[in-house]
Amino acid sequence: MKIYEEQLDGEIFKLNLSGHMDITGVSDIEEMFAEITASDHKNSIIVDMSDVPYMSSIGIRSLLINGKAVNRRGGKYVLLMPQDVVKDVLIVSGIDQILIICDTLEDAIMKVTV
Amino acid sequence: MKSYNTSQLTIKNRPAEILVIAAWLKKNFDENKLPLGLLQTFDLCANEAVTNIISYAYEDTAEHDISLKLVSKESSVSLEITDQGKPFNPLERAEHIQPKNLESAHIGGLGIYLIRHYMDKCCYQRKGDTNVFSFLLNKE
Repeated sequence: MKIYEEQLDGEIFKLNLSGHMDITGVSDIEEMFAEITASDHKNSIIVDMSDVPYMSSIGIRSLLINGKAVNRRGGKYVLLMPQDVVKDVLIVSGIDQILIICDTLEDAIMKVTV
Repeated sequence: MKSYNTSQLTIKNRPAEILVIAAWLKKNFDENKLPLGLLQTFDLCANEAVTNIISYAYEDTAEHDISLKLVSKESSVSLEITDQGKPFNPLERAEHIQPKNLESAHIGGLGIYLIRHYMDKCCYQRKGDTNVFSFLLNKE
């Protein structure tokens, strides 16, 4: 997997994930993912999932760990455009009830800035 | 006339081998002209089951074999996974509780829940010193 950090206007950080988010994929990105979500000044984070074609429970674990890190200091953390097969896993796991999932970048920006 | 196709694969308990499983499943599903959705479901469930074995089945760091057997029948597809790790019945794990909020969300244990959700039938047996975990999905 790869993770690419992009700064948008208004101190919003978009993390573009790509690749299979499973045991090997997560191990490729977990250090950088955690480093970004642990940064005190990065309180508006959009995790762009549109280039993740596959996610196992280890991927969910990673999304939750990083979401908790941002949530604990009052930051905003949303998931953007997961592919259908990935979205289904998020729904089956109940993650759609505890993390905000957005279908458009505009919506994601609004959700992390309110 | 043969009414079902069987394919077997043996891998080592290493994370990189997950890719070998994915390629093996794709080849077999393509050959059997099975739909992409079915492949994605089996790929995920095999990934979850084998990840558990790699992560928890062995106390040592030595290489161990994990065997997979795929059976495609007219009405169903099944996958049987065998390892020689410590006894572990995944079906005895506590039911997954849907998280109420992010802070209290339980991290881990979700893989077995996903397998049970997506498959029509799951079965575990301890045979001698091996764990045999299998799951089946009806095509209709």
